[in-house]
Amino acid sequence: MVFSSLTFLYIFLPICLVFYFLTNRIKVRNAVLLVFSLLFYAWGEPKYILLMVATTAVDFFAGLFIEKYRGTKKANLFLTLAVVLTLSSLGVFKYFDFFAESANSFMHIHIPLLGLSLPIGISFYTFQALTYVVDVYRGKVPVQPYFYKLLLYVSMFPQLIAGPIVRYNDVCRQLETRTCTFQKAANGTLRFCVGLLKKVLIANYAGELTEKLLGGNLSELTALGAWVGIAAYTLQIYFDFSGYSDMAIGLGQLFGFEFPENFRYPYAARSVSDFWRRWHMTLSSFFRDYVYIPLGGNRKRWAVNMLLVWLLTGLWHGASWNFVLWGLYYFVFLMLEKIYLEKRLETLPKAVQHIYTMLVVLFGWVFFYFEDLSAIKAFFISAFGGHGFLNLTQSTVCVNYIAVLLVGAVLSCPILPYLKTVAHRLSAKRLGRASLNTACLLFAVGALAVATAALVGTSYNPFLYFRF
Amino acid sequence: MMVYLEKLKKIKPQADSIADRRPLLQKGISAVICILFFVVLFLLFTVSVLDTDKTVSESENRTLAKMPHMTRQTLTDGTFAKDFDTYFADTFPWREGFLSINQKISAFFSGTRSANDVVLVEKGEKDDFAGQDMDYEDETY
Repeated sequence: MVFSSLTFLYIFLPICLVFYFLTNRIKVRNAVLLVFSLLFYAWGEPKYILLMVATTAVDFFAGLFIEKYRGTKKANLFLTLAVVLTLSSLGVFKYFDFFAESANSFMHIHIPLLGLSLPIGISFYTFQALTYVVDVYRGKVPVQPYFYKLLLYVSMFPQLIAGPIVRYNDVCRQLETRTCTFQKAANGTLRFCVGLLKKVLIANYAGELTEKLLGGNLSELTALGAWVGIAAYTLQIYFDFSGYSDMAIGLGQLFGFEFPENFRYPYAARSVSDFWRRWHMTLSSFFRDYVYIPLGGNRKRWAVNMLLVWLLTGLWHGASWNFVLWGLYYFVFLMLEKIYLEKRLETLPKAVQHIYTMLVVLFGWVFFYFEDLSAIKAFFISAFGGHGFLNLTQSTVCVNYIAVLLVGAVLSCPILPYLKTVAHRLSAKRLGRASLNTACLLFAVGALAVATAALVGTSYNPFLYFRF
Repeated sequence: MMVYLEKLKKIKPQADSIADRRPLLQKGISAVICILFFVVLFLLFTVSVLDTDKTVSESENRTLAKMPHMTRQTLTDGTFAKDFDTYFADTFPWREGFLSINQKISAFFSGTRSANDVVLVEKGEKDDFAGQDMDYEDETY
């Protein structure tokens, strides 16, 4: 199930809320949340639910054994076993066919493909399960004695299928005790509405525009079409994914949880390294703390460690060569910045820093959008005028969708935080506070009506990060 | 169990939790927002459960999707979920009203604006406009 569906909003969520708030006993609430999370996952793809439970069970028992044999070699053994088993499910379901196919074509052999469909959310929940077992080994979190609580952590529906990647460390205390207040829930509701609008208004329309320009025959793509198309995709992927994170964080608050932030206006970054401190923050910090630092971090072979992390980051986004290229592309720019560019960049005007970053990011999404390497080449030929600069059809398409481009571009800038500081100043006065509160109320009602209308009216509603 | 909780207390809590910040929303309005949100969700849910005899859409001139049959086969392969989503969207309460709101949104974000007096239509539909002057605003001169 996805959040931006009528079935979720008007059947699943109200029933779940009723059961959740029937009592204030934490045990019952946890049980309700667990049952609904499993239902959420089972809706549409019930067979893989066993895989998720099995992954959790592996890490649960590994945690118990690591605790039992702490300080001995057996603890290392159980950690290794847990990590290998957890990652092997990812390896089989996500990467086996990709590696087999690549090996077949390079070495002229015939490894049969499995042809398995990708279990929803597998890239997210396996990483979450890993943070638990690794942190138990490191002594950062106590071992969880109850299986259902660990399963609740792994399968909790707000963050189950598309992040943010919540660490066990982030929520272990909240699994035992958490407060639900009207203020927290109201903030969560507003946050959820913001995410919903990001998704159904901007991401979906930007997606339509992308499809119209880049989805067709690339040999007819003009330079205007190429640039506007990739700009539209840039907006789509940000509003899609950050909208989903907003909805997840908002729903979490509704149930009394506090999840980590995932995006901090990435397109306002002033360097590529800055961009990666703002984009999908829970993934980059996962790779930092669970891959880069254990490998030796900055102290030894840092360049090799970086290369490995970025190869993995690329591959995490999809089992295909274009994602590997995408990871390497960022590796090159991050190395360049670390060695040479960073200090020089800081002396340049801010506008230049923004333009440089945006161009790198924009071209980066080309490797992300086209899975076929020859299509990437064709795109770049078009982008630099190989098939003309503009034609009537494509410029008309661009004009038709001008509103989504403008609104999306404006909302990619940190305007909301600015408005929030203004709001804080306003709320010092009584009248200001009252009107602000009314505005929030009206926003929530309007957002829900608009989002519902969009959901009733459109069947085109894919989640990009669903593939991962 | 007690040991687990004791240990849990020893980990230091993360700074900058949401509760630390000064809340913008007052308590009263927060309650109103929460209750209103819930009432809207629940109201539409209830109406959709009770109001089930819509089968045709007059404005679109088509029959609406029917409630799919629940069998073991359709439940496990996911087709039930997919068909149910379609059915639910097709028979959603006050669907016509929502559709007309959506048309306005769609006109704003992807509306037919003309560039150099060219209007794009889907392929095969252009005969619908045969003999018409699309640019009727210019007729005045």
